[in-house]
Amino acid sequence: MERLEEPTPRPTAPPPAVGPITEPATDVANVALGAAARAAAEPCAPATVTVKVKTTTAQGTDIVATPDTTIGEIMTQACADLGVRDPARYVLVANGEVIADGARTIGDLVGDRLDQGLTTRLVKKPEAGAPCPS
Amino acid sequence: MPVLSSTAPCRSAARFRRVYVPLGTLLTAWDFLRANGNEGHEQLCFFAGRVVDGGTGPAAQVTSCVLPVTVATPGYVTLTSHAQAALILDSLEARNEVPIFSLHTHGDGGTAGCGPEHSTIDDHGVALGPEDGVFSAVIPYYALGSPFGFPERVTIYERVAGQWHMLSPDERAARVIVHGDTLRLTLTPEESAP
Repeated sequence: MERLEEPTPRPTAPPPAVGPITEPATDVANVALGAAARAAAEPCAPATVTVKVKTTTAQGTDIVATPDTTIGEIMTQACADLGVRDPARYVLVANGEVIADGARTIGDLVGDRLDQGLTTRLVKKPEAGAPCPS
Repeated sequence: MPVLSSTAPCRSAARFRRVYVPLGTLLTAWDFLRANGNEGHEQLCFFAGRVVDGGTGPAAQVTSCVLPVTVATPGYVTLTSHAQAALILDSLEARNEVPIFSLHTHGDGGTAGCGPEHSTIDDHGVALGPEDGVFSAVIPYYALGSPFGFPERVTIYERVAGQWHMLSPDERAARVIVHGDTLRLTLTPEESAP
C-alpha cells in the first residue's frame, strides 16, 4: 500500500522580525547619551540674576537674586550695601531709563537674558535751593 | 528670600587732604554759573577728577567740570532728570573720574560774614552721589563776582559720615588749592640781554 509520504519541510529563512527594532537610534543607552549631549549643548536658563548696582564710579554692589525679585527689593538691598541714607530720593536707572515701578521684577526687565545680568545705577536728581534774594 | 546674596563693598573712608583745582577749569565752571546769575537764577555744576597721592594722604586732582542741563529759578536749581545724573556718572566712569566738588550759587551773600550757607535742600541735594569725602561750594551773589575770590570768598563744605561740615577759613585755604594750567618758564633780564 502506497503511502503518501509528506515531504519534509525544507528549512526556510525566518520571517522578518516584528519585535523590537534594534537600530542604533532606539538603543536605550544611545538614546540617553544623545539626549544628554543635546541637553548639554542647550544653554540652561539660570535660576538667578546678578544685578550690579552702582552709585558713583567708586561704589557698587553685586546683588544675586531670583528673577522674581522686585526692583523695590533690589533698591532696599542696594541702599543698605552702599550706605544710602535717604533712599526715598534715589531711583534705579538701567539703559538710560528710570525704573520707576518698584513692583516690577528683574525677570521682566532682563527677559531671556538672565545669564547676562543687569547693570543699573542708583541716582538722585541733584538740586539746590536757597531763599530768594530780597 | 528673592535676594540671595550681595557683595559687601568695602566703603573706604575717603578724605582728601587737599583738592587741586586748575584755574582754567574753575573759570569755565564760573562762566557757566554766572550765565544763570546774569538772569537772576541759581545754577549748579560739578568738578570731577582723580585721586592722587597727596604726600601725607590721598588728595584729589580736579580734571574736568560737569555742566549739566538744569531748570533754575531765583531760589532753586535742579537737573532735568535722573537719567541725566546717570549719564553724567556713566561718562565720568568711562573717563576714570569721580565726582569731587559740587558748586552752586545763591543770590545772597550770607549772614554774619561767613558767606552763604547750605540750605536743607542743599544738604540733601547738591552731591551727585551718597559718598563721603566730597566737597560743596556755595558761591554768593549768583557768581557775579570774580572767580579769583575762590576759595576765600565762597563757603566750602566737606561731607563726613553723611554730614556736611563747613571748612574754616584756614582749612579752606590749606585744602582747596587753585593752580594754573600752564607752567611757563621765561628768561631773566640778564639771560635775555644780548
